[in-house]
Amino acid sequence: MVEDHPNDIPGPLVVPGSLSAAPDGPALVGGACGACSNTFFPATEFCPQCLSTAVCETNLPRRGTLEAYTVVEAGAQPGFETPFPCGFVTLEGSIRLFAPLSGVDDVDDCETGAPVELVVEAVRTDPETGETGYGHAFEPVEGDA
Amino acid sequence: MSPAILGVGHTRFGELDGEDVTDFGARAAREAVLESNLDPGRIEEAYVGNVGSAAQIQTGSVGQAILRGVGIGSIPVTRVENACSSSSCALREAVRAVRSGDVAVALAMGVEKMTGVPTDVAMGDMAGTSYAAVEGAMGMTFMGMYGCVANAYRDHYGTEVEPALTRVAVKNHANGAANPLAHFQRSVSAGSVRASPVVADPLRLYHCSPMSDGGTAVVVAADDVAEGCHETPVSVETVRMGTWSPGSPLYRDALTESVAGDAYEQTGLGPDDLDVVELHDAAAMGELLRCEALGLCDDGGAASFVLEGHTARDGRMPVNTSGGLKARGHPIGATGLAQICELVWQLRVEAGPRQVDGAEVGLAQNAGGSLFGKTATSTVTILAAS
Repeated sequence: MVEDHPNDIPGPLVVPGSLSAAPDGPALVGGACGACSNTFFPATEFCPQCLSTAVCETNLPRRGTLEAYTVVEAGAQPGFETPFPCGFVTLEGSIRLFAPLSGVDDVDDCETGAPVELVVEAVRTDPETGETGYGHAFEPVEGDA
Repeated sequence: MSPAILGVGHTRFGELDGEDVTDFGARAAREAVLESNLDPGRIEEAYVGNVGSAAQIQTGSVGQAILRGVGIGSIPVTRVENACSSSSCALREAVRAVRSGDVAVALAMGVEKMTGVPTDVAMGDMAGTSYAAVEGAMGMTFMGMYGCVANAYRDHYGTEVEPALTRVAVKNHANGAANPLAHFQRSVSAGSVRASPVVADPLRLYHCSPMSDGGTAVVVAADDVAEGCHETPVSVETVRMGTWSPGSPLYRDALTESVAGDAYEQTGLGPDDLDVVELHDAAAMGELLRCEALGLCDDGGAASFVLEGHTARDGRMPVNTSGGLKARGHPIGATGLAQICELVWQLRVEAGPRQVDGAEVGLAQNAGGSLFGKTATSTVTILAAS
């Protein structure tokens, strides 16, 4: 039950294996290299920097910095509702990724350099099956980036 | 000596109802071959830029199918898929084949069918030109990315970008109105751009390129073949290409800066030597970014550069006289060579009402795909009148 285990992932993920239920909340799953200490997203079977296979999955930092943002009003991909706020986030440790934004009604709620934090959301409805797909999103938060 | 372009072909861009890539691709190839004054048997190798044909179940052997329509067979034919830069990358292969001495004459082509294809398939083709597993899957679209970049640019430089984006749209539509092959052959007012619906803040519909059908082709030959073959061959000074690297900020196109730097260094030419530029305005924000990346203006100065009219057809640095991706249209596999066609017409003084006076050196910049917010591929081609 989701209510009893708030850190659980509520349903099937749009990007399989991208999130884990960590004790202090959900976390994006990246890769960590035991040979060169690189961390990266998404997790892959070897390090994209030094090519070592001594990699393991790791929970990435939940906070990051908003690097760019928009609200897509038209031309969203099938299964994504508009308006669709989204942007690019740089996690602590300099991993950049695309993500939907949460708690954003329009771009005035956003500012480059603002701190953001990971949340897990229903991001997509499969147009054929109607199934909800969950995934990572980032929400502007108070404090320093 | 540099290889020369002996012939170009460019179909009407837009909604080519009832035609597939084989039909209009062959028309473009025929035009280029006829214009070159070479017997089709002289073509020793061909490269075709294309993105969606195999996925759309049109044809996988797209180059071979097109060439069958112009009586060319047996030769090596290779499809080049590099998202929206596919056909400039096909040109690069053709130029390398000629420059290496492997062949004396090569054909580069580009084709794409985007209308009449189910929207989800076309959107999937586009989204797939990102890191599809973690970006396309999470809802990234190209206009969404350009909207993000526009806001990052505005925040970084403290410059409102909307007036310049709108000026780019108005200018490129005015150029498209003078291009009988353009998808949109009509002018638009700033008011109508601002009244068009928002696609991805701050981009409105009229700031964005359309999905188009179209085909393009270019015959490339060694300079000794060119002599006595075409009255006004155009010289390919360089075709440079580079790909994604991590880390640079989203408000600049560091990849295109680097590729343009290579092209300038290799040719000994610079931004001040250019008379006409075609660049990748998939969204109007692309034109601002790439004016800076090509060194046409200072970093952070593109908005005022555009608003002061320098990129207009009669400005000091005309940009996208064809109408650009915005108005000429953007059949993604054909766009790169459409830029080349426009430069060739300008350098041969055949651009009609779009002609830039005294055009002798032209540059084309074509971008393809995106990884984590950064351009995945960028090409820079410099052509010169002989």
